[in-house]
Amino acid sequence: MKLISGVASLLAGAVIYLLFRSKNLLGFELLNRIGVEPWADRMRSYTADVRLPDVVVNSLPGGLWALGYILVIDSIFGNQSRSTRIVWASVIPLLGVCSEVMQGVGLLPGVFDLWDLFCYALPFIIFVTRI
Amino acid sequence: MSKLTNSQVVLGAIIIGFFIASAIFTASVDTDDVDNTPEEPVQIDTTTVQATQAQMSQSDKPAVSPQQPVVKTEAIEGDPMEELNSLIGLEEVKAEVRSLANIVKVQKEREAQGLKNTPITYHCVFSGSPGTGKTTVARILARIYKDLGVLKSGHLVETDRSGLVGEYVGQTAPKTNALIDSALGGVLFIDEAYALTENKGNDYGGEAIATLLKRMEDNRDNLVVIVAGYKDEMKRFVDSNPGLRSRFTRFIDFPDYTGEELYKIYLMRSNKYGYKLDADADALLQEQLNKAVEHKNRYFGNGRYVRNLFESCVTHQATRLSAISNPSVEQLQQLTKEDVEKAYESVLQ
Repeated sequence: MKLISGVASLLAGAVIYLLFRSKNLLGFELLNRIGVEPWADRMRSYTADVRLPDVVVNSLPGGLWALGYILVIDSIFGNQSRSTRIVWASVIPLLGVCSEVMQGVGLLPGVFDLWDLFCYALPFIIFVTRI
Repeated sequence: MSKLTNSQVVLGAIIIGFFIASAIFTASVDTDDVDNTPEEPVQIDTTTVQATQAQMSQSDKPAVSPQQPVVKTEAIEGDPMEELNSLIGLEEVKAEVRSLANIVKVQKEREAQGLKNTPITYHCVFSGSPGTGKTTVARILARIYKDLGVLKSGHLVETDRSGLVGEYVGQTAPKTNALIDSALGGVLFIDEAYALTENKGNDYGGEAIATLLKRMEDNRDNLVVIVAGYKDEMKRFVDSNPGLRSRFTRFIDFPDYTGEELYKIYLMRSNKYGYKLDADADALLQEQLNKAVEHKNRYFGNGRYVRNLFESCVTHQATRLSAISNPSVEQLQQLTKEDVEKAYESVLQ
């Protein structure tokens, strides 16, 4: 169940990227190379009228991926000790939070966003309090 | 609780690797979000157009071509409404443009009084045959939008499929974005826009449309898009995509010119350049233009046909005068029946 929920969360984040984010992403290059970009373009044109809040388009995918990661990784390490599960589950959310902080201090290119930070951290915080 | 196994660790590492790779794939491949400088600058030729010559200029100016896929013209000078009224024919088009201008004007006044406005679309579909004045009216409309405060600069960026679509994978979106950047504050005029939905070996036209739709939304306060082309093709183009259908709701149809209107355009042109038709030439010209309209097909050039006819007349007059050692001013101005006859034959070829 955790695995399915994790994959679904990951896919939901990917769909937001695919339909609503700028096409100047490396992922679209990949879609180009595997020849499915026209299909993606068609899908994007059908949702061109849909206006989602910026936080949904820009920050939520990161949160959904962090949640997806935690669920998938916990489906593997669910039988381990609490500390082991927390350590493994923390990797991606921690990387997300670190990258955001590094953007904030100018060590990484990009724009620091509190919503990004919140979306990366929230699933992990919920996970830690629930296990 | 059981012991941590190697397979768990390997699987965990693979998943972490997968998520890191995913994060990399969501990174930008160019600086579009931060910097709007295009990777490959679009060739733009800036030409100032005199408002008083708009209808003449329509045929003077080179149309968008594969060699010059983008033509940028600054906002026309003078009074755009006066310019609109001075156009020959196009009465329904003029009425549509006036009505659109009135709507915008009232909307702006309501806005100034703090009243609510119904959302209106400034984007238009101009449908009609070549040479019917679509580009000229687009320039006038751009200036009207500027005067009414809809657009900041009111310039016109004219292009077609070749100005939007790249040749190779990954080129289309940056190319379209760069072109749209150059049109911000003005009007982007896409001639023969229906070609974007025609499959020509690749589907990059779809990518251009997707990019265009996004930017129309993102820049809805400082970008107006006019798409133009043959009536049936444009209807199919707009109907081919819900995003296009919802944005392009205003259709303005440009009818073909009548023989009489073409004759008036010819006279306007010859007056502008200081030529006069003698009585026989005048009669023949009217007859030939009526005949041309009678036998026209859908590719008939309308205003462009008249331009070609006039230019050919001038060429034949020059050939005729070359035999005279010292032509008088009157001879230099006069276009004869013989000039018109030969010009008509040349244009037919």
